[in-house]
Amino acid sequence: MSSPFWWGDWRPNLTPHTGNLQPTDLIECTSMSGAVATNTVITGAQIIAAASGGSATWGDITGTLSSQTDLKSALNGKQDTLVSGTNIKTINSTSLLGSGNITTNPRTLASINGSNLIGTANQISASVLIPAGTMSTNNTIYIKNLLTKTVGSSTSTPRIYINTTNSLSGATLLATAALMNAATYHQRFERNFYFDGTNLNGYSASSAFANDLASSTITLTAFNPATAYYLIFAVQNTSTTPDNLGHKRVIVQIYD
Amino acid sequence: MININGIEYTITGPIEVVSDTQLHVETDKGVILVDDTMEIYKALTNG
Repeated sequence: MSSPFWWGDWRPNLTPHTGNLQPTDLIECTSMSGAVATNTVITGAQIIAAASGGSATWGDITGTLSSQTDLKSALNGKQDTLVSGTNIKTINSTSLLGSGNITTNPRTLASINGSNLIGTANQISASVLIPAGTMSTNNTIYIKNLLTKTVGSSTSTPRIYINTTNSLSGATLLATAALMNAATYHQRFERNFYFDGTNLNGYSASSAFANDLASSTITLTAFNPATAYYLIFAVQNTSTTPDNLGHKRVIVQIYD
Repeated sequence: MININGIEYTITGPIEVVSDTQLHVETDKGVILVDDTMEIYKALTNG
C-alpha cells in the first residue's frame, strides 16, 4: 500500500461528521514536506478558538456605512437637529428650543360649555377654577361669554359670582348681564377685571349690562392670588318653564 | 356687622330677595349671595 500524496484523499470513504464541531473532535490532516507526508491532528478546540476572533470594537469596524442598510435606514428615520426658525417655527420670534415654559399672552384659563337650565332658582350653569398662583398684580381677567335662551316667555338673569368653593352660598357677585326677556334669546356678555394686587376692579357688579365698554361705578372685590377661586356663571329665570337660559360658551383669559 | 364663613362684613346697602332661598346682601366687600343653607340667612329674613 502506497503512502497518500495529499490530505483528504487517503480516507475517501469516511462517514461525514454530523452535528456541530465539538472541542473534543479530532481532525486528521497530512502535511507534505518535500516528498515526506506527516500526519497530525487538529483538535476541535483549536478550530473554535481560531474562528471566534474576539468581539468587534468601535473604531475598528471598517467599511461603508451605507452598505449596512438596516443601520442606514434607522439613521435616515431620525429627525434632523432642530434649528429655530429653520425646521421648527418660532412664536412671536421666540425660539421654542430648550427646556422650560413659554407663557403666551393672554393665557386661556378655560373655554367651556355651560348648561341651559330651567327653574326660578339662581343656579350654576358653568364654573371655572382660578388655581392659586394664577394671578399676579396688574393681570386682567377677561371673560367672554355667549348666553343663549332656547325658549322663554319671561325675564331671565345671567350673573357671574366668585367664591373659594364651587357654590353660590356666600359667593360675591362680580357681574350682571343684561336681562333677557321673552324676545331676547342671545347675548354676548363680557367683563374685564383688573387685579391691583388686592382687589379685582370691575364694572358695577349689580348693573345689568352686556359689556363693560360704558362707564360705571367701580366694584372692588377682594382677591388673594395665593388662594384658589371659582368663577361661577349663574342663571335665573322668573318663570318655572319653559324659560331655559344658559352660559352656552364661557371663555376666560388672563392678560399679563 | 355679619359673619359669613369666618369673614366679617358690614352691611352697606339694601338686601335684595333673589329667589325663595337666596338673598343679595350689599356689604363693604361687595354683594354677597346668602342662601338658606347659611346661619345668617334666618337672621336676615326675620329682621
